[in-house]
Amino acid sequence: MTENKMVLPGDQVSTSEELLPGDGTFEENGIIRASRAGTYHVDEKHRRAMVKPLTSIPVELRRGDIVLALVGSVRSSMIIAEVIHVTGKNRAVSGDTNGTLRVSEISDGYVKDPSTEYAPGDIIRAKVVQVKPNIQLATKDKDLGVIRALCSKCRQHLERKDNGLECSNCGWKERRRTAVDYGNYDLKKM
Amino acid sequence: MKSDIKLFENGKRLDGRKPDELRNIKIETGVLHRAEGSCYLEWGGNKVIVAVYGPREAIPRHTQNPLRAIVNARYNMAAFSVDDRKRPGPDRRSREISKVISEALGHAIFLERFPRASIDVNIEVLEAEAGTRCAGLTAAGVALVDAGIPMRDIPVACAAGKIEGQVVLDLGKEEDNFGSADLPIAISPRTGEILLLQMDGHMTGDEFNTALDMAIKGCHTVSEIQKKAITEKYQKTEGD
Repeated sequence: MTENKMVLPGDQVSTSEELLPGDGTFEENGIIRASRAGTYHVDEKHRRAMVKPLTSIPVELRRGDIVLALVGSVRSSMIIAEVIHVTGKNRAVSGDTNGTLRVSEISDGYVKDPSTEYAPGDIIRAKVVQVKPNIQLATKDKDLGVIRALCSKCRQHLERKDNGLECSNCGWKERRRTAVDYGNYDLKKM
Repeated sequence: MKSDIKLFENGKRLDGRKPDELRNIKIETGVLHRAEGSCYLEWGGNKVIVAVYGPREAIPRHTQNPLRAIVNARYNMAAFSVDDRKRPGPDRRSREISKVISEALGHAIFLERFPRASIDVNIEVLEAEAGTRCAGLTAAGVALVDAGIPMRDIPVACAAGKIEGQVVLDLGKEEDNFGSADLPIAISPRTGEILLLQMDGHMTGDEFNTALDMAIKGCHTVSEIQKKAITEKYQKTEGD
């Protein structure tokens, strides 16, 4: 099979004697076949057959991904957030989206209680540190943290003021662990 | 059902086709922007549009399978798809078709890669003229490839039937209404496995075997059209 050739699901690309099945391929009765439409490549370093997709492909979470998540509930030692978007991808996340963020992973300093840093309804940017058996997030970086928060009194947008956040509607002041670009990220871009 | 129209005369069918001739098929992929995969298909007078969403978290949650994804195909006929207005919404017939198509597609997809997820396949029949389940399944196969969902093969469907004692391929509207049997099948063209087989009417054992062979042959022809549609679409983008 020549490289860079376009293949469709089910097309034979190689054999098990020759290569290992890599991304976008599967092995069946000693034959490696494509599992998606794309172009055939060989990863010479690992001797793997791969199919580089030509279509968009489902988004699967990986360790190290930077994601946007919606905070659902804040517990005494962790928060639970739903992963809603993976940066750089324009498709919804496939599979499990329930992430947890432990207190110790919130910031570099000591955090006693997660409720001083995050509140339900916040949209946070976080890093995926574990995918299996469950999704674990971390926000230990200055571009990670809250990117949009709502006032806990009137549910209007909070705006950055001095070192904290202030409600544009009622003037209520709150504190969050904010990302450097708090309020500047366009959520409609997703 | 008796009729005064002659369905088969001088080796030609009502619309001028030979017994083993398909209707014209046109497939276009990637037609919808918001769907993750889509396909528009014209098969004779049938017009079908398919949108694929997912894999995404299956809702309601009790439908989730912790070991694999579920395929939710939804076959729906538009109210204006038939001569008399069809009452909109799911009915016995469309629920059955949705179920058999879901199962047929599920056999071609690597479901175990997406535990607890659902893959939603919405099949809308815009115009119907016999053989819509085959058209819908064929279009769904293309839309799934467009959505980049890992698959073993591209499923494809085609029907054969019997009119006035003669076994023919791909029944048209009158042939379906006044003929004596219809046999829609779906196969996995690479392995030849049958993914769906239904029959309406009566055929003898020999007639059945002839019809099955004919339908399988038809499936392979349609499969080539499917592959051509995908290749054409993506070879164009590759060249850019």
